[in-house]
Amino acid sequence: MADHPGCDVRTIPVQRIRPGDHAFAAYRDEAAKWALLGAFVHHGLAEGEKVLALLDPAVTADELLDRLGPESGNLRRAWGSGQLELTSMRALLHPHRRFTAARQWQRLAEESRLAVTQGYSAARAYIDMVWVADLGIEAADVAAYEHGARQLFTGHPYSEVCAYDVNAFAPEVLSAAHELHPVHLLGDIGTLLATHAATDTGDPAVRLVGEADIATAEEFAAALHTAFARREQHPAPRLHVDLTGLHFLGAGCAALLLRLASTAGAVDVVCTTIQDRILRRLGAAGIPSLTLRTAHGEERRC
Amino acid sequence: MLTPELLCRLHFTLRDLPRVRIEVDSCAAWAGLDEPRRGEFVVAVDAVAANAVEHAGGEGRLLLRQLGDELECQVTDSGPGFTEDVIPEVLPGLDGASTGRGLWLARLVTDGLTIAPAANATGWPRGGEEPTGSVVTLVMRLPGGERERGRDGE
Repeated sequence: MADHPGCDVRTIPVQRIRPGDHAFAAYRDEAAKWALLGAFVHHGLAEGEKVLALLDPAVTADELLDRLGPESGNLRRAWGSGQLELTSMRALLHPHRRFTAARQWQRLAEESRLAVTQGYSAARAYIDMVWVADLGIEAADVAAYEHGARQLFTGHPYSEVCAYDVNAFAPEVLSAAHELHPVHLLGDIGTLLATHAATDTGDPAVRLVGEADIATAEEFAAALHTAFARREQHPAPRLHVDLTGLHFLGAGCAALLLRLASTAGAVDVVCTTIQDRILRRLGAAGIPSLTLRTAHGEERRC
Repeated sequence: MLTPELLCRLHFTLRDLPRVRIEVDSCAAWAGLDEPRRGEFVVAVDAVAANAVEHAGGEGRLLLRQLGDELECQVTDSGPGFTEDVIPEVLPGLDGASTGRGLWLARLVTDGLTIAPAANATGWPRGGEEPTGSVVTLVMRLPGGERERGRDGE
């Protein structure tokens, strides 16, 4: 099943960033910006990665820590140990005053190599594209940077989010940047995206991306009802449900999926190891028509 | 006596649940809880926090601490109060009401779940109000004794 019909890019929640990913993100306001950064930082810390936050030079360490977790001892320990670092593109390029794409790639590659020598599993950078205005860069140079940046992701344990303020860039610049990134992030944390498609054999399929919790439960239910209804309209031997793009599957949504699967025909679910464990604990084994397959290829008919 | 180490403290409503999960995951990883148990722990914490939002006042407070080789997560709500009687003994059937399923799962995947009146909880003084609300405490044992804290010394 294609991630998006007619499109080969991946849309993922920010928590699914992995080394090698070069991701586009767009934020509309301050709240969305900090929420996205917070998720990126916390997840990087959980993965044992070095985390670089390249923000507006006006952002102080106190503001960063207060925004991301005012009462998070974990965050402060990461700051104290150097696992989390605040910098800016201006500081990264120092002592050079003039931006060149090659210089920027070189500095980021150096940072990722340094992180590995320091014992981290990888480096990740959240780059607020506010640096474009800060350094007085032309939009065309930004596109050149983004286009050539793929060399950073080859052979380096490095991932990067380029976060664009939609109010600060022209629509055509945003559109070009969007096109140049192989990975797109969901705009907000805690959201759910459902994509209906068909498998190569014509079976109906639904792919769920984001988070399925009590806040998105109605959307989750609607997506599954649509998928099950499509199978009724176009009788097919199996329905395919892809959960691998879900960063979180809560107990209620997991139970809803099982309830629907127990009343319908054959359903194939592709999921992560944790989702597999949760679905089994909630009774997947009692549904003969349900097959669970983990993303690692392990398949067991329930 | 063990000195608890504060990992994070959060106030939450419905819209904060994604951030709660992110911080709990990050802190649990730091404390040494590996996958897949860490992922199940996050599902358990979410179920308890979701219960506070949906059935016990619409908001809550979360306190995550490490006590020796255990993680302890306390979720305090402001609802009418409830007891472990709301948790079914066995997995609820898929065709019935879902009441208690999340808490049932939370108890199953953790190493301990207790529910107490909020008035007896530590850390959240309630002033002179009539005691209401409950504290759900989840415990998760950490693997293998003292955790290496290599990066702190770098």
